[in-house]
Amino acid sequence: MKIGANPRGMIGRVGLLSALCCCLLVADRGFALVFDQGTRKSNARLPRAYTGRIDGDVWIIGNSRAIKSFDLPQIERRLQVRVENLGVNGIRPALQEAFVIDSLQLNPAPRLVIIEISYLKSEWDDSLAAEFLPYAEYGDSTRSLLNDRLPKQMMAADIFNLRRFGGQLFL
Amino acid sequence: MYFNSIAFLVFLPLFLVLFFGTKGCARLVTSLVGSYIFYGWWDVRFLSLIVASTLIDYWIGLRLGVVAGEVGRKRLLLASLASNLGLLFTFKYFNFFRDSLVEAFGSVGIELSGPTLDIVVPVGISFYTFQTLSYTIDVYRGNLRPEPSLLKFSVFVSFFPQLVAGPIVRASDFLPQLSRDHAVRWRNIVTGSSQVLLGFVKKCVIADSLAPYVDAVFENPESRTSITLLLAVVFYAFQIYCDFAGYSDIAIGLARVMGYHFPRNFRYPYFASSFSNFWQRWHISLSSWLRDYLYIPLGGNRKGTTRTYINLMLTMLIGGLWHGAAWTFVVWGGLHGLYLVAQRLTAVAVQSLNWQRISQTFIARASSGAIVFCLVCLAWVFFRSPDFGTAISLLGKIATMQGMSPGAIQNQIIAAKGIGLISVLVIAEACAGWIRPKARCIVSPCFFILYFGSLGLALAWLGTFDHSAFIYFQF
Repeated sequence: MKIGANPRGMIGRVGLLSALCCCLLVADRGFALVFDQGTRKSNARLPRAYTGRIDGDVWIIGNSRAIKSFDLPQIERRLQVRVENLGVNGIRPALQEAFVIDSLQLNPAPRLVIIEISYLKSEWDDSLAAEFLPYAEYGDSTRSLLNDRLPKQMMAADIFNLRRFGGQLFL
Repeated sequence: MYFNSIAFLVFLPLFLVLFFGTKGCARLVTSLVGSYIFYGWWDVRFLSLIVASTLIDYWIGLRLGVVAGEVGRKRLLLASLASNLGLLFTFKYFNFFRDSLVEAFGSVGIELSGPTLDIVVPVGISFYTFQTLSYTIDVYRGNLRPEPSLLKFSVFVSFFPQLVAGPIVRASDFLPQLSRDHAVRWRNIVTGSSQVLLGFVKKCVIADSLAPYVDAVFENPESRTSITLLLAVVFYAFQIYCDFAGYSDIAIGLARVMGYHFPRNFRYPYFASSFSNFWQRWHISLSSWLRDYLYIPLGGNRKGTTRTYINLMLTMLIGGLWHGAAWTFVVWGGLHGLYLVAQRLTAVAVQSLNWQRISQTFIARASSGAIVFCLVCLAWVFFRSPDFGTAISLLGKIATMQGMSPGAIQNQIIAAKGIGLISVLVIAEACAGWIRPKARCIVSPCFFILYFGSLGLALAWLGTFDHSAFIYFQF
């Protein structure tokens, strides 16, 4: 049947499209909520840092070199302190800064922060930054950085909340 | 203009409003101008080629309708072949053949030098060249009447949904459809959009999720474990399928929204139980083109066994070369030619041993399907590799079988995501064969919301929108 030939049919179709949009948005919000709950309960280092569950005396910050270069059990045994390794593979300075500021605001302050700085000259990387989308709602610094550097992705994530949870770090 | 770009998102609604707001000649003008804008978005200079190709074949088609003598008709056909294949040769193959010649003579100590052309291959040249060629050949054979309207013929050559990567639509299918004005129909919009959405999911969710893994592995195969390489090859098989089938779905779906019906280009190719069956399911418009305009004119299977095998090999070698100006593509085509020959030889052996009943059992067909898939993947290694060295090194490393445990898979998160997506695709395609929804079902409200909702969610959640090009654009 031609569109517009039958006004009642037209109204039905507009209704159907509206129902589809509603279902899509409800499902998007629903799944995003489930994933968000998963993030809150996850014991991985980023979710813990962004939900105030880091209580180490010493934090180690940096990229993969920070993750692999420090022998945490040795440090803990010798210094009798709790050490948290908050290194993120491939992280860049600007993102690291936002992450540390948010972590310091959301968690009890550590006694010492060790920063591995071999990555200081590395350039901004959009794809890695996009991995922090699930945490944009938790930390002000992270959110403002992502708003500044990834405005389109942040806008898309505001429309479809599920977009925040498609990254490698989350999956 | 890419389908997965912001520019296209703006272009499409504007085009559709103008398309449905006009009728007859004005609609054809809208289609032509829209198609030229779509194509010229890459580079306006490319338009001159498509216009030239259109005018030449239009004129030759008209002349073929007038000239009665066989010699004259043959000359016209040769003129069309020379102009179309000449364009293709100049822009796509000149540097390749020149370099190959220089290298071949250099290997026997003869130094050759010749000009190299500093040109970019125009997007989609292989597709529209084959499309216009099919028109002229059909008119020459008397299977089609020459199209008197230049406007209609121009739209047939340049219609934007299928212009740059197919499907290669035959004039006998498409030209009659251009003679009618199609009204805006809800069913066309729904079925067309559903196919467009499915195409975007295949491209943006599956193909683009597999691409980073495949690219990283093929860039540096030496540092990978055997299982990682094996996984990358399988991932590439699905990446290229989803990339190309995704494009075809979008093209066919868009045409459907406008009221045109294009033939299917893919029919679950990895469920093929034989190599000939694979080519009846993979890039159907090209394989049927090669069959009708190359394999059968060469004699097909009517000139004895040996000649059949030669014809098969020639067709597949040319099919391989059609994909790109590199010897790796020729090897890919050659391998498929060998597979088809081997299949015929096996069929003869099965017949002579009277094993036909065994070969029709489910287990035999499933085993055959698995072998077909493995050998198709083997051929993809040559298709994807930048050179022979990479392909051989990759296959050699897989053959060593060092590091074949699941724990040896590198970059496990992306690998797991890829395996998950492929599993969903395979299950969905297996089910689609059994519970293929009828058109009536697709417009039922529940199915509509479920289908569009789930695909929309998949796209919103896992879709990659970095405007990555479709693989087949380079061909």
